[in-house]
Amino acid sequence: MKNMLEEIGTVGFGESVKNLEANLARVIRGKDESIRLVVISLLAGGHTLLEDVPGTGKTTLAKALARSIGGTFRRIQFTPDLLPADITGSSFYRPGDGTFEFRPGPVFANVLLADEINRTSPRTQSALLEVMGEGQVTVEGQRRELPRPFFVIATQNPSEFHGTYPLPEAQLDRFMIRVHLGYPDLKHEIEVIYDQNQKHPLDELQPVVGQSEILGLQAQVRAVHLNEAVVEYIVRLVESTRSDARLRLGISPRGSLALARTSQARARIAGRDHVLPEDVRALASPVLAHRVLLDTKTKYGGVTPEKVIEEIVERVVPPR
Amino acid sequence: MRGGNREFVSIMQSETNVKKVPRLPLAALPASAVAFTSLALATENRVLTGVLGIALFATYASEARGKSASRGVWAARIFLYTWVLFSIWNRFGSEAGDSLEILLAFATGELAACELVIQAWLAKPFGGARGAIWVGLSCAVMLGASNTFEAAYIRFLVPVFMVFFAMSLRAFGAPQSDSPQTARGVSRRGIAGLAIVLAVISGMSLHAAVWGYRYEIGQLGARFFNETKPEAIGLSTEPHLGATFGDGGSLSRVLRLTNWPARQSYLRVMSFSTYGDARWTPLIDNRKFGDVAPTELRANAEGKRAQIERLIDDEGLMPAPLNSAGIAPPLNAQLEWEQNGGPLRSKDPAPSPFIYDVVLPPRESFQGPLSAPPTRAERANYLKIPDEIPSEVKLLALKIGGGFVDPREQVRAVEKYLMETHAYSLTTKPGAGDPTASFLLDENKAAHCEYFASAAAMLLRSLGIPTRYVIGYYVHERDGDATIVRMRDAHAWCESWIDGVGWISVDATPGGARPDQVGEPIPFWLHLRERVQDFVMLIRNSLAHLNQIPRAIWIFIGVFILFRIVVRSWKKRPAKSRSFVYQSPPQLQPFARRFEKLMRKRGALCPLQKTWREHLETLQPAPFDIALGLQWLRIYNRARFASQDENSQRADLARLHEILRTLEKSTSKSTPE
Repeated sequence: MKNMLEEIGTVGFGESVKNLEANLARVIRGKDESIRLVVISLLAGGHTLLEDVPGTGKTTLAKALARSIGGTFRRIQFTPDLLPADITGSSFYRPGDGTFEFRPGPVFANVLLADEINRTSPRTQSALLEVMGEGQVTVEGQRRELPRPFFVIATQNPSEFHGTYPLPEAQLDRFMIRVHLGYPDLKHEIEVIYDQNQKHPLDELQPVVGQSEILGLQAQVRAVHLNEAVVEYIVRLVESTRSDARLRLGISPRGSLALARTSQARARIAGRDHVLPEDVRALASPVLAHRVLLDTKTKYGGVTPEKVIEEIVERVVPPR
Repeated sequence: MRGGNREFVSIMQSETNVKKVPRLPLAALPASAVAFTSLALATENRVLTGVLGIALFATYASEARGKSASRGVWAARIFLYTWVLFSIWNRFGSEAGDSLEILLAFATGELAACELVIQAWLAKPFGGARGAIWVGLSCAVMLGASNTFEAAYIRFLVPVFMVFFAMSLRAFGAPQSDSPQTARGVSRRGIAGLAIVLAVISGMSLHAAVWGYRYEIGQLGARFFNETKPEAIGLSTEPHLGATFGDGGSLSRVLRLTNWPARQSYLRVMSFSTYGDARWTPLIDNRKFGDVAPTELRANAEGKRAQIERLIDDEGLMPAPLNSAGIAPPLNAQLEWEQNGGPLRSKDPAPSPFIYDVVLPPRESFQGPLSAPPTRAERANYLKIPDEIPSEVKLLALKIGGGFVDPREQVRAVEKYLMETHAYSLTTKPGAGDPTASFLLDENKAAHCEYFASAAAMLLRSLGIPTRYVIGYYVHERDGDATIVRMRDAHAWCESWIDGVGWISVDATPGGARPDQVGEPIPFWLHLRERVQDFVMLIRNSLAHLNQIPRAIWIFIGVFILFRIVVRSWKKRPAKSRSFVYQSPPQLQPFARRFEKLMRKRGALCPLQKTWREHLETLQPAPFDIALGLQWLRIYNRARFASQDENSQRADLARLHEILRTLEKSTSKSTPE
């Protein structure tokens, strides 16, 4: 493993991540942890879901991330009348030579910003399933690969808000991490107002990591060593969500995979070549909470999925 | 959740249906089997109970389930309930002997049995609430069966049931998140309520069992703690001059005396007036007993008091010194006595423990309630010498005491003569003719106290001194503050009436040869056993003060507390026993252990559910140099979780050892900077 890391080259990893995070922090004030989670998701090769009430900077963060990465960037504003073909693209008839031409939809990009994803119908949301899961699109029977890297960053309002369709569980499961931004504190909110007084700092943002660099970073993350005990710990955590009375739906194996991969990313960012149980524990809530369904009674008892996951983390014995 | 999603969720659930469902504890099955057996033994509805029992276990084994709302279930329920109630009603009408109470117990048990089968058919019971319902209904079945008082052998089944019931308590203790107990319908509070009901029910069953066995338990205790039966004791109320004295001296304790003065050596039990055929009469059954009031016993007499605790209820007899100034019986005790020096005894039932006060005499020759002067008829009786006593005895008496005028000197002379001319022996060979005469007249006769006492009585009567034969105990064994009287201390002596003085004790048995001094010293194990006996006696006595209702309440409370402890201990058991605990690789284990030990020593033991790092970072004040500790942890984690080649691992291990040693040696509790 160590040899593999050496081949890929560890030089630059910390710096790239630092640059990326600094870039994002220029736009989103006082949310270092959320930024770190988004970066982890990117390095782990997964998609990110930003969820919070309107006006907390979800779209800004998504845009900032897209701008910080070189490569193509597309944005879809999800609306109730959006159709699947509007996302994936469709064929057009060319009267000149009488042939059909495929016009790729906005998903053909390196970074896809799916803004307010839960404002569209479940049908259109489901069109993203294949895109996010396999990195490909099948239109009119033809399979089309998406460019690499492919990273979806979606934003949504909490499902209790008006005019939202809750995301299907299968769709939610395809997001690696769900990040809550939350309101900034007093000091940072004052900074935000000054920052945006003359012009938006977003406009000045320059790409700091390239497309191929991201692929390299992702390969480095995958090379981080996962000890058997740590893997077993992940599986035990996930297993206990399946037998928890308060959860109607436990975590799928996709969830354990995501937890393992993000833990690798966290370990790599911390400069380690091995994952520690602490990595797993720190990421359990953001990686797992959006994948579970609460029992009706528990839900109306005011218990959040995050709380259930945290309790499980407190209960399952970590390896030492 | 909208309609479309719900269907999707159900599909997802069936696909990922790997939820671990805790099973009904196995012990609950035999528990309900025992309950059903008991019911089948007790009830006359044997067919119904049999069918229900078979149905119950068939239901548990099969996969088929009913729906809670289905009409078939309700039809079956109504049919079964009607059957039970109708048959009970029929019996109530026809058999006058059956009390309503018993029939109600039957009905409860049978209805619970019906409901148990129905519940089991509706949903297979697992741990948690459903298991609780299963076990709870089994308890109700058992309660119905055990409270009918129909079949005594059900009492044997109750303890078996209790064992299985206790084993299946686990079902309620399972932590909330590990079982689906709160998944459908039954709340946590409901389970707590059910648990209380169960504790009460099981307490009642247990109480029924204990109550049913109370005589057997009492006898068992008596057999275990009193090795000899009252008939075989050294003190016989039918004195007979035989070859041996009593049983040779058992070590069983008879009395425990407190505040007992050392000089007070004689405790009389009863006296005899008539001698003949080598025995003293009248027998205790032929005596006329009459009630005695505390005033007659001078219970309020002034003077120092000593307490006598009766450890064996020897026909209710109450030993006391001849010259006692008064006797105060325990509260609630009914006493009777034969007037004029006859035995004092308690009537049944005697309170337990039986402790009575004796007012000690101000002087040796004090005449108390037990030393009433003899009537004319008694006086004649106390002077009677039977025909089988030859005239040589009278001649001997005159030879011994004829020279004295004062009867007291005559008494001393008889005592002196017998002590000097006869030897003491626990066994003797009766000669020809009357044993007393033979003992007195034959050469070199050795015998035990009964012979000495009889001989003294015959000699004194020959001298015209009214004398009676007395049995009782010779007190001598001190045990700390108390004085102990054992079976082997049984003794016989005489009492003579001296005009102008009163009754005096006459003991002609040679002093150095009393049965107690012939006996062996008390072995230490006996002392030990007696301590245990005392403790058991204490418990039994304190229990005896409770009547049935408080006793039942105490049993409920006890069972309930026990139940809570079981549940609590199961819940609080560290995750170690419920969750898996990882083993670090063998080469790292010693380091892990040392580190744990170090933290424990510094009062900062890390809980299993946390990682060391998280724990260390939260500690205030730090148990040791935190920076160094974290460095150690970094190396440990690298050795533990990274893939390393042998060389670097060896280097890491050496480094671990080094840092750990520094940490162990450091005594200062530096805080992190």
